[in-house]
Amino acid sequence: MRRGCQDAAPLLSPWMDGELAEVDRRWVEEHLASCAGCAARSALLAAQRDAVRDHVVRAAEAADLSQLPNGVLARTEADQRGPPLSVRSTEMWRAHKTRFSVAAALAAAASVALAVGLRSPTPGPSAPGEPALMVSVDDVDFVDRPGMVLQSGQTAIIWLSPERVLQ
Amino acid sequence: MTESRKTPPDLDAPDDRSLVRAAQRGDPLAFRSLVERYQRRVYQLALGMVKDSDEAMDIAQETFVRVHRYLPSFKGDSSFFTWTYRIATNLCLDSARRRGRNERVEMDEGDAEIEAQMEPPSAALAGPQRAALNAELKAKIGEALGSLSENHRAILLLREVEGLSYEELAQVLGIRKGTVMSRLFHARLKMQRKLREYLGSEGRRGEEDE
Repeated sequence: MRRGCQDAAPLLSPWMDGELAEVDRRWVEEHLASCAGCAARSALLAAQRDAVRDHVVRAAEAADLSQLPNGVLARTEADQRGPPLSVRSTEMWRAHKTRFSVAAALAAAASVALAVGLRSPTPGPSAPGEPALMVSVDDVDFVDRPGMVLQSGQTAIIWLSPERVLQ
Repeated sequence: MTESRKTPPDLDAPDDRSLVRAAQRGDPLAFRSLVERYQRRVYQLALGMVKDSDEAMDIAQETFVRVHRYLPSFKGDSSFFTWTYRIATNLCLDSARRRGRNERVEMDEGDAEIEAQMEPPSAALAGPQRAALNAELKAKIGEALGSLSENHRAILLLREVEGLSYEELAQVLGIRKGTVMSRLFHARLKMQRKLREYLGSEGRRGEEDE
């Protein structure tokens, strides 16, 4: 079967890229020599390639990349040191916050119960008219140490995260 | 431009392989040399993909941070720049998807597209002078590139700008060589169609003016 423009069209792209097998390359070149339409199509492909290249290269030329290696190296050095302590502490704090809260609340409850028990020779239900025992638990942040404060009446128990957070 | 593949190689400069080996041993100067050698090309690719210079800079930096991170596992099965481009391309595609752009799934059109390409080039392009696109058309290139899907834009940039072979394109994009050929063909066709439309309207306007 005689090959014509229909066969040539899909081959122009790989031909321009030098990716055709020898037999196809020769055939495409013979066809281009005798077909003005396909020659124009291949010229258009080449012009489009050059225009895309010019456009992208020129757009990127304006960029100042002189600081890029320094930025990369600073980040790779930080990578090698591991995440900063503040990040680790904060992450640790977030991850265990619930557990800390429960533990602290239990400790507070125990402390308050103990304190009340010590004060009262006959522990038992509150007498009518006495205010109910209220315990509050709040997060605190002492600049470089996260923690919690448990408040019950006049008694306050402060719990601090064992790790300092570097600012 | 020292980073360009088209630049004749500096015979005194160490080749990629020795720099990679030194960088793998922890030599920061060797790693820096690799960054300096490829930063322009990686930035260029990122800028072509995302079109925002700050974002392109971030992607370029992130590419080399990841190169450094994964360098110990780089075995040299592919060339260093192919491997680096793969990382950069994936970051560009991820970035585009994160921005919420809908990835336009490009179905490789069949014969209809090929037949469309068979239409003779417009009068504006048929003559010998017209083979080179004019300056006004070049300004439309960015617009046409932006209208392509991420996959088509990536393959077009890697081929037209970076000059990767089909084999290298297959490695960078993680697709088969046959898919490279097909995707590139369709990407070029879509570009051509965008530019053709522009040229057609300009051509008509020119005729009316006369």
